[in-house]
Amino acid sequence: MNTVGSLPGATQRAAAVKAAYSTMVRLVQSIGQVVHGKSEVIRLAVVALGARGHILLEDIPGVGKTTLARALARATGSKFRRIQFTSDLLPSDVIGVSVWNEEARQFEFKPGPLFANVVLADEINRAAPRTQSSLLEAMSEGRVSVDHFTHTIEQPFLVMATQNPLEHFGTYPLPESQMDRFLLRLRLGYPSRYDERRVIMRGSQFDPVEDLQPAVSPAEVVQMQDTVCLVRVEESLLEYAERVIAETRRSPLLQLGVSPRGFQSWFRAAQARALSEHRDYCVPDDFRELAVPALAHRLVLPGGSQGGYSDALSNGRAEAERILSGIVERISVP
Amino acid sequence: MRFAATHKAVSYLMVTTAFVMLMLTGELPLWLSLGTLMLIAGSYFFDPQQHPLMMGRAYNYSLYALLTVLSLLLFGSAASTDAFWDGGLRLLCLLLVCKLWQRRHNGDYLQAYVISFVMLLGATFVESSMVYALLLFVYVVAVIWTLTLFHLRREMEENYLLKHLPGRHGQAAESERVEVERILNSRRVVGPPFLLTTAGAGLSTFVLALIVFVLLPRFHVTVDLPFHRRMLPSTGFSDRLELGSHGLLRDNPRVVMRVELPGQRPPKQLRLRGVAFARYHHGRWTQQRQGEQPLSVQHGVVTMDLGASDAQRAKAQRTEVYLEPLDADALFTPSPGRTLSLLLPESFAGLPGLQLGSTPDGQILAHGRRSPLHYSVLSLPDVQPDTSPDDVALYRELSPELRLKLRTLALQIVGDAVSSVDRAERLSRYLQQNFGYTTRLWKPSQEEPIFDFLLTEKRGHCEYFATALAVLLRSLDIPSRTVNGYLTAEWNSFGQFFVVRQQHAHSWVEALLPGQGWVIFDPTPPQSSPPRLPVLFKLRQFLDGLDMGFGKYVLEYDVLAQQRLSDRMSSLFPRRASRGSLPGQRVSAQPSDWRAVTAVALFLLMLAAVGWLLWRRLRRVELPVSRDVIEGKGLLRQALLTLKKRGYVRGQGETLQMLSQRLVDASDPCAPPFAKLVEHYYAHRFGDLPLDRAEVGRLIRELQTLAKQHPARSSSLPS
Repeated sequence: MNTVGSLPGATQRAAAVKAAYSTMVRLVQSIGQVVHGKSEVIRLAVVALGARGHILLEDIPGVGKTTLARALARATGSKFRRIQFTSDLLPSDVIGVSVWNEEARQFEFKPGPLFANVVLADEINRAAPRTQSSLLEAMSEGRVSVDHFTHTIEQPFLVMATQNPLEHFGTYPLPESQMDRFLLRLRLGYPSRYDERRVIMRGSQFDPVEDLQPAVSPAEVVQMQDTVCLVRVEESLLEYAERVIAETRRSPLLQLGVSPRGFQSWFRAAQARALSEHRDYCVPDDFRELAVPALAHRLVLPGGSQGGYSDALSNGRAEAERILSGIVERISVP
Repeated sequence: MRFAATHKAVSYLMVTTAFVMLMLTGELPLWLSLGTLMLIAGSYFFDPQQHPLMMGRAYNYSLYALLTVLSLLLFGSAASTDAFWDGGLRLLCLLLVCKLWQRRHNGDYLQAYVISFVMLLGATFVESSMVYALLLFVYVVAVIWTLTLFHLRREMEENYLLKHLPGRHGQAAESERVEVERILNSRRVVGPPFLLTTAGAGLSTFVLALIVFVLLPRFHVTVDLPFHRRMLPSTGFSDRLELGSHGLLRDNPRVVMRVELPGQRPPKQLRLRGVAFARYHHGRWTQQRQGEQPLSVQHGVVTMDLGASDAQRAKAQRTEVYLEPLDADALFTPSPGRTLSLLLPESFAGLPGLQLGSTPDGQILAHGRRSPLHYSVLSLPDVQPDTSPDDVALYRELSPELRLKLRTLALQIVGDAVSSVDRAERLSRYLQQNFGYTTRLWKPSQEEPIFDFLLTEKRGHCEYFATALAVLLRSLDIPSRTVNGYLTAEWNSFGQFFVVRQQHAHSWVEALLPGQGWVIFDPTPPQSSPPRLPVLFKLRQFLDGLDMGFGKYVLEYDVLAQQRLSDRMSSLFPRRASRGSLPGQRVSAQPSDWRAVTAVALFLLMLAAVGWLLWRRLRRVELPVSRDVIEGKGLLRQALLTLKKRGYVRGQGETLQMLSQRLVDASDPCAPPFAKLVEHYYAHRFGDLPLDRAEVGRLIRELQTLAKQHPARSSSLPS
């Protein structure tokens, strides 16, 4: 990158961008070996990872949500834990407990499954709100407080939660505060005929994810996450994003617009997406394409039904996405 | 604007301005002026870098040798200052042209600047018109642009060939070469903001200089320069006049003087008397200069006529004459009229080698004058000058042969008229009515051209008419003399003055009539003036008026003018006098006080202006959208227009990539170039990368060609 009047350190910056791009490409390729035909979702997952965000996968069972999460963990060569959320799951089952150590005569913290690099929170809406909330601090700050002690979770840290949009018997919808902590909400959807056949023909005697070799190191992932902040966002793009956010807050069709945290997430995600295309600057498409995945689940429709979850879950979600699409279609891009 | 191209353009502006200034002085012959201008223009489009011959050493040395020989020839043969001056000017033009055709690097530009400065100096020695002042302003602005860009370029090309990057983790600093070519072609280094700001700086410099000029006390210092303005050629004002020997000035519109008549209604025409000729012999008039008396100047006043009474002096009228450096030592006075005194500028005493004198026939001569001169004449318009009886014999002198031949003719013409007045009038009218005016010279067949005129040719110009009348009058024993001067009817209503041009030169006769003094007779028939375009005429008058104002208010701005200005200023703002102080003190304190107040006010104004400029500049720096971005948008708009014609209208919230994807989905042939175009635009607009104009232009052309080759299908139209 050799721009006229480049800032000092332009060479280092260019090198960092190149390295981060390479990390992203290797991740996408690696995951693509086991999750077939979902390159766009994989890319967005990697983008979320780059933006230090968490992913909410919302789809029917059996389309590969778990495979995606595991593949991501394997590809980054990091520790993976899966927590199956059920209605009787307790916060301590997630974050860990302090047990009495007789020898040391003190309480000792036994870290829960949350202490990993990639955590799959399967069917998160099945757990009680109390358990769901125990994830809050970990997701936003990367640490856990138990009994006056704060335990830091090592980086990179990515929570990938799944929920089934169709089943809502015995489920607890995620509260707004919880929804707001997910950077992107993704959907996998059915694979194409060809991809589905490939999955079936592969057989089930061996797990392809287990064979997946780490494509990058956790250190590289952290470096990539650091590089995302270097991506330039031109003034007019920022203005564009501000207009969209302001519109969601002003719209009579919505009860609650996007929060500053939501804006920040969108911004960071756009930066990460730019990096995934080997650019050190954002373009309007970065914002435009990520508007729905990054913002729709944060909107609250009138009557209390959430954009992310409601009594008529899929209806509310579709409605929120439709309103948001309407907004971004109306606002002219720079 | 590319950096290199801008530098070249402003350099040429500066150099050409200096050359035009020199050209307008009229010191260069026409062929040299036009030739140099054409060569300068030609060199602009010539790139010596493309021609290895021009870059070679052999070419260089042969050029130097040629120039050396030429300068030796020019200066070696220069016998006089004038020849030296002419040679120098020619050499300057040659040097400039050579430098411009050989612009190999920055240093050559510098040499061209030096030459242009020498040209400017040369023009300054000799030129003092309003156009000069305007061009000087252009030059000042161009100099600031040029030198800024020149130094930028030099720093880049010669001093900072390496760009240093901070070292990382304690390593040594990295260095890489600055890409000179790229920066020279960059459009981001200079733009209109730079040019405007520096032009503003030039303007404020100019204004500041003007303020200093107005406020600083004027000390008159005269420098005798080795070079001086070339005197305007004149004929008929030397001590002798040969009939039919000189060329004509009829069509020369060069201004020789401007005359103001303060407090008077302008007459229809103004006659200015220059020299009078007393002796006539075989077609040659000579002046009577033996009795020339030196005139003494006391505090700028020359008293000519001691005999005038105070009552007469009170009725005297003033005529202000602004004389260009005319190649004649006569000073011109309004005629008819009796000149009482002459007021000369304060600086007059300081003009070196200048002597004033007056002759018995009423001429005033200023010997050794080499510069423009402004003087006022106090004269009595109704009183004819007289001559003492001793001198009258001189004005009756005529060779016996002439007297013999002409007396008969004269007596025939005057007929029964007896009085001198009637006779003179009849003779004058006879010439006016029966003779034709022509500026075409004919060859006199005999020794005495006046016979040819009177008897055979019967046509000629004013000198023939005047001579004929004078001679005829003398044959009748009426004392007479011919007078050469100017007769103008060109009133400049813009500047309220009479313009006198070379073409207004004229000859007439003064006859001494008993009891009336010297009376003017003009036997020349009126000529039809050539048709002129009213617009051009008005424009010329306007420019003339400007020139006059420039001379009056700028060139002649001296201590007195300063005092007058400050008095006028103080009368504009009546001062509240403190009652306690003495009146005398108050008066003496007034002008300097006002000067100080004005200076402070102007200084504050300047400060505010500079502050405002700075503030604007700083604000501009913060603005994110540069002009280049808008230019990029303009290029993109072309492409979008082409797509619109194909039915791809960009939606409001649709990004360019989405539109591009739409093209791909429709498998439109325009999709690939458009995708690349979007990539270029994005990188430029959002990634702050320079726009590859050539590539973008190529892509747009490709897009347009593809659009033409594959007409839009109906399916691609929006539903």
